[in-house]
Amino acid sequence: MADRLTENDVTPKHIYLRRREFMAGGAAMLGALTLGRDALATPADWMQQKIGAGFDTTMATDERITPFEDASTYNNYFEFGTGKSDPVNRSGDFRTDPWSVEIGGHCRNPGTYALEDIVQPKDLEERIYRLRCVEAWSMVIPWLGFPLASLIERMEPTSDAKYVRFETLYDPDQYPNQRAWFPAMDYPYVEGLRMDEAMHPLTLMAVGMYGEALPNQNGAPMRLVVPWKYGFKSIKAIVKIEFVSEQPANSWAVMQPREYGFYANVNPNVDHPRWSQATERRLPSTGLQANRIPTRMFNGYEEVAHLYEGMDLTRHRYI
Amino acid sequence: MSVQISLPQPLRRPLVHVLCALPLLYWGWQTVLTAQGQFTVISTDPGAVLADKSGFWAINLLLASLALTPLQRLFRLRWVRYRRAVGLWAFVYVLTHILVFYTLILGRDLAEFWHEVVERPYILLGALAALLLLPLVLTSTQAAMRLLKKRWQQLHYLVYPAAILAVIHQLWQVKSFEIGAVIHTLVLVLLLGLRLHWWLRSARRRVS
Repeated sequence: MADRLTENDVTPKHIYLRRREFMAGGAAMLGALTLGRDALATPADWMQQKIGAGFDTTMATDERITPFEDASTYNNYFEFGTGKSDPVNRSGDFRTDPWSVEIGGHCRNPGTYALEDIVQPKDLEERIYRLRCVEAWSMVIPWLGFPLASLIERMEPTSDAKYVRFETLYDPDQYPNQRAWFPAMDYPYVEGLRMDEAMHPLTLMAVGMYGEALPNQNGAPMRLVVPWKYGFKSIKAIVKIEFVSEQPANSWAVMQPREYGFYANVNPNVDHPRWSQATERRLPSTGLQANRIPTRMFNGYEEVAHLYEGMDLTRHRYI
Repeated sequence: MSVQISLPQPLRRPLVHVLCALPLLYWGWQTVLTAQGQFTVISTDPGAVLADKSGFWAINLLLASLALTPLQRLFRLRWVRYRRAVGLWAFVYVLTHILVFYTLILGRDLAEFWHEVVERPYILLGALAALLLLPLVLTSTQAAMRLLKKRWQQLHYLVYPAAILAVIHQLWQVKSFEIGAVIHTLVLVLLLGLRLHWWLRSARRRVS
């Protein structure tokens, strides 16, 4: 009960909107003035305090961790542009503080929560996960976050909540591709999980990586990380979480239903219509090596297999 | 309409070669830096970036070579004499593109290379485009022109299906809206449309 949010924890909008607005903007400007790839806006003080309070590494790896400079400069984040270096080059001014998340739908504690009230004290843990992109490349990234399950429990979803729907910020002032003549997709970006997937202990809400707050280009201030699914499921810069009874229409499945589905579990046996998913390029390609390695079922996280018992994962509706 | 450019004649051909070589020099330099261990724009995923850039420039130059005749007819720009140079440079980028795909993306796995070419329709189209360009490269000398006479022109019409296949190959691999692929498509349609227009007009004249 102690970690449940109540109505009293909800910061009135007029207060959190005032907080550190100018500091965040100024820091982002300074960052952007230095080299493009170093344009990491300073995160909120409270975030740095929470991270500074310490955390345990609850999932380690014997694989080589992708260097930070690769993981923070090679990103798919279409709101900033479709090029891999667009996110790092164009996100320097992105404002992550103040940040609030609207949580609603079939739950007992709906409301608009300030991010600092969502991230509970001593809640953070480090988990090193493989990240497998649907484009057949992968990285190994130490995330900093908390299980999505703990947030969901605090919201007390009702029995009508069968799925969780997530939404990325819609703000054309801050996202160049959202104000482009021909946006790369329909915005805001939407993703979703089945309730049992969302409650699975591997499913992480990340607010940091490599021991620090998330860089803007990696989805600051808060993003999802679902390590057994293709990367596009791990939605960035979340502003809305909704408990729904119908399967959410996630953005890529809406745009290219022949190529992307709702489940998007990493599966070496089901090729993308245009390329093989049997292998992946583990990045970075140090020394100009292709670094091709076999792709593993559920990206190697076999412990989730029971969630899909009885489902034929080669059938289109379950891809 | 006529456009005057005043670059001295002896400098023009070298300039064409330098312009065509610039992207290769730039990305080659980035590759050397990366191989030496420096962190560059291609470090993380050199295969994907270099395949993208080499393919992009191959189509740029292929379309440029097709644009020289219309530019002469419309604006009296006498650049057609550099068409062979531009076309050969396009093929240099095609070869680079295939080499990058084979080494940096597939890790020199020949079996995988054939598998990908046969299995992936858009790769097959790209391979066909490259194969269609090969005889044009081999017959690009003056001697071949003299030898083949009328046949030479007929053979070199292969550049049109090659360009069409190359642009479809690019369009087919985009994930969503990509401005480069769209511009290439529009330019190709414009160039083919102009030629069709001229061909129909001269056909009508022949009839009457």
